[in-house]
Amino acid sequence: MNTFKIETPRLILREWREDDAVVHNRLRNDPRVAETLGAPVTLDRSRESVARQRRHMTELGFCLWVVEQRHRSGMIGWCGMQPGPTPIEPDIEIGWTLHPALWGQGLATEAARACLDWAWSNTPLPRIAAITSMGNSRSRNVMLRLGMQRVEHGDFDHPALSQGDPLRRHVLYRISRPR
Amino acid sequence: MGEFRLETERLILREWRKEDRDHFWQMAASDQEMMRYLFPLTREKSDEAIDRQISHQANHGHCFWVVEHKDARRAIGYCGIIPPRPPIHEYELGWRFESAYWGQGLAREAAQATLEWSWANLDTMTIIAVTNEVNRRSWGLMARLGMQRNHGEDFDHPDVADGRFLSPLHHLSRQSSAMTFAIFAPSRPSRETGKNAT
Repeated sequence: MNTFKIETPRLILREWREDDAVVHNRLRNDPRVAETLGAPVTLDRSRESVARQRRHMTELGFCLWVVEQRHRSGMIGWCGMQPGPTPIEPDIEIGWTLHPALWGQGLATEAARACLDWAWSNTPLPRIAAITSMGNSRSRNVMLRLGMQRVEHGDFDHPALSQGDPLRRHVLYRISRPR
Repeated sequence: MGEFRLETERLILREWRKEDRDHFWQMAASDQEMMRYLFPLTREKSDEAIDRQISHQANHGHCFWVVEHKDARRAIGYCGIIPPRPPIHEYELGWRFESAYWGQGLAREAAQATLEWSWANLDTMTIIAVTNEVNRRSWGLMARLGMQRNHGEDFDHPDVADGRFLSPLHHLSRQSSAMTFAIFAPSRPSRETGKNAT
């Protein structure tokens, strides 16, 4: 059996297991994470998220993978690619979420860069998008460090967020396959 | 392999001995304050719970240990960490102390030492503790230890009463909500405590 794995100097990206839902939920509901991803979600929602990523992996060959550190077992977040929401279809988006205790160490950039490299080598995608709420400067900085460029007139309202939600307005960044 | 022993300022956390069986049983069965939080086990169940701790220690090198008070020179409670056992996939921290010793920060001292030992010796990013809404002392301490409650996990832990004698009320009142607290490994693992405790 071939187990999927991407390794970087400090990180390992792996597939989801069903029992990852609990830690997914805990991470997703951390107040500092919820600030950027929206109000806390139920454990059932996390189970659905895990199931969706597992489905992506089966159908597309990639997903938002689980991120672990090499020196200590256990999920610290997720990073990878998935189909973007309606306004950016048919683009594939790259995304990441890491535990706030580990912010500021360049781990998101390290994981995302490995994902981009993987995508250019293993998929025919001509470009990859990234989106985040307008005020999420941390994520936007990672996008810039990855060499992504903001798409002019690309701002949009995320369809999954309701009117009045401060996270609703999103920015769009893209990067093209290197020549 | 040497016997496990972990010292704090006022306490010694150590492996189980034969004479601990009576203390553990009497504490569960006769401590009125604790009875509010604990389902009274039978002596048989009490001994089975100890057997599981001894087997955790033998197989994994850790368990809910016996806590001795250095001044009292006897066991006054239990504190430690048990390995993941499906359907729970994470290490679980727990404690139980004689009510006469509550309010002196002893549980905190023991739990803190256990956490530091765990980060230095166990390969995990997360440690959980489970308690019940009505056990305010217990979840108060979890919060003071830096553990965070995740509401998403309330009610969710399956009842594995046999494995968790330190989860007060968990099996006593399933209607009342079980709460899970979790703590994430510090960015730089503490190496000061516990490394030599083998």
